[in-house]
Amino acid sequence: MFEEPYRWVEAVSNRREYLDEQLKAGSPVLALPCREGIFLLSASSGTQKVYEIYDRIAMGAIGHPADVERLRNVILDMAHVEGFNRSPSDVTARRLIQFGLAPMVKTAFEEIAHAPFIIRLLIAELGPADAPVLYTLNYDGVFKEEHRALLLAPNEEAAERSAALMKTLSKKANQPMAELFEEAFKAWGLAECEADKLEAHLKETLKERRIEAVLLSSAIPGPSKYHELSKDEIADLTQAWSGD
Amino acid sequence: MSGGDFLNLLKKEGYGFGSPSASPYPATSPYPIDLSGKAGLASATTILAFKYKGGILIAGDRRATAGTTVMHDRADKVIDIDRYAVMAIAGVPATAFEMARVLSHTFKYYRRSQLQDLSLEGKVRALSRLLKENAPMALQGVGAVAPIFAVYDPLIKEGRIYFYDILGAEFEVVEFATTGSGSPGIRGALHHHNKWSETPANEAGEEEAIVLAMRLLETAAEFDVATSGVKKADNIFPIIKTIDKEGVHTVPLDRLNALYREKVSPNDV
Repeated sequence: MFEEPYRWVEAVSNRREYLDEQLKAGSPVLALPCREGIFLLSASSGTQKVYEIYDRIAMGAIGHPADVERLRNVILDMAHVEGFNRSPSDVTARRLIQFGLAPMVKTAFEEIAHAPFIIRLLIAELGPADAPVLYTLNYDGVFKEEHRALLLAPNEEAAERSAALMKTLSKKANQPMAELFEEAFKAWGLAECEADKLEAHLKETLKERRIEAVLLSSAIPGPSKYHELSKDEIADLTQAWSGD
Repeated sequence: MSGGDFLNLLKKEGYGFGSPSASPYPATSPYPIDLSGKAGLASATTILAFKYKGGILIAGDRRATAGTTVMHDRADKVIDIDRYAVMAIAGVPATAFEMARVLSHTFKYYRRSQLQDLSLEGKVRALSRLLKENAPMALQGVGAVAPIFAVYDPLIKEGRIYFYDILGAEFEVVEFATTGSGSPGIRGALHHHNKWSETPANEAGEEEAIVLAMRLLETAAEFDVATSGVKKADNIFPIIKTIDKEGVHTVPLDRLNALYREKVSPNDV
């Protein structure tokens, strides 16, 4: 059926359309280098979207919950076996993606007879000397490294709406997270709605959904540098929108 | 999918804990040890844990021995396992450190994969399971470990102390636990302290508790050659940690030094 090159290319192209369609309803995930380290922000109404992977590594995801879960388990197993057999210092986001997830996701994408992973992932790492390192991994296995504020958006239109604010945030990496939160929340919100509906959308999000806010910071005691902000901490940060 | 069981995941990768034939690690220490087990490798040390007003204190001396040979005087036998759990080891270091590493990864792997912390009971059983799997090595006289495990549960806001025998039986203690070759003497001393002193350990503040721990370890060192005392000249002090609702805290060296000079051995120049 797919033995002719043209048909295979066409099938892959159809597959892209299918995956883009499946992902367009996803809620964005924002990753922001800040003075403390890296701040991750999203909102969920059911399945969790931001996860702890290893001592200095976190993951954000858009996509089908079952596919996210499969890949999360793969990367968790890889990270912990490597951290145990060698050292936690040898567990790096680059190795996990380049040698683990990306080849697996690409293979699934190109095997036309089998289901691809409906995912788009963001991996955040406090790298050497606590430098923030961010990666995105697309459903076709393509991954990119970034060192500035990053938005894992469900589609290009969503990314474009937030682009200006994301550019501003990228220049403020030396500021504390609390001072950047308002702009970060707005940038996240713009990826979900038009600018004229932003305030109402953010208020509704706070009422109806669970805010997921995570800080990766070397200031956190112990080997794990992952801190999920509590309800009280989030309430303090979102006071501006909590009124009617 | 490993269901949050890190040890099973390791075994799938070919790792064999406690099995001399399957383990990729040497079954014996590189140091010259007495394979008859008569050298007392399983107990040559002193570790202790007790409850004080603010939580749990857990401490250990720094000496590692093989028979009558002092191998190392800066061994860290009190090991953080996670934010709320500490294991103190008496026994063969190679096995004990490996157990601590497996345990540490077991807890964090469970938390990250299952999206919830392992229960206090689950943590206690995890160490018991490792000791049981290590039983063949322990019975051969080359891998015995008798640890103390102290853990604080932030949900029930309570700390607990357990000690284990080398085959994995776990025993929860009410007030304190001591193990190792230096422990019999300080076990009696701690019992005496709790029964007749004006401030029993569980009513002591943090500073009093730290001083009590240092005095007990100095006492153990006085009567047990396998337990080291403080060596001020070399800046060697015991490892002392506390666990409370905030998690595990390591008492800094300069604080130990100051308290030792002031309240443990003030006449010692």
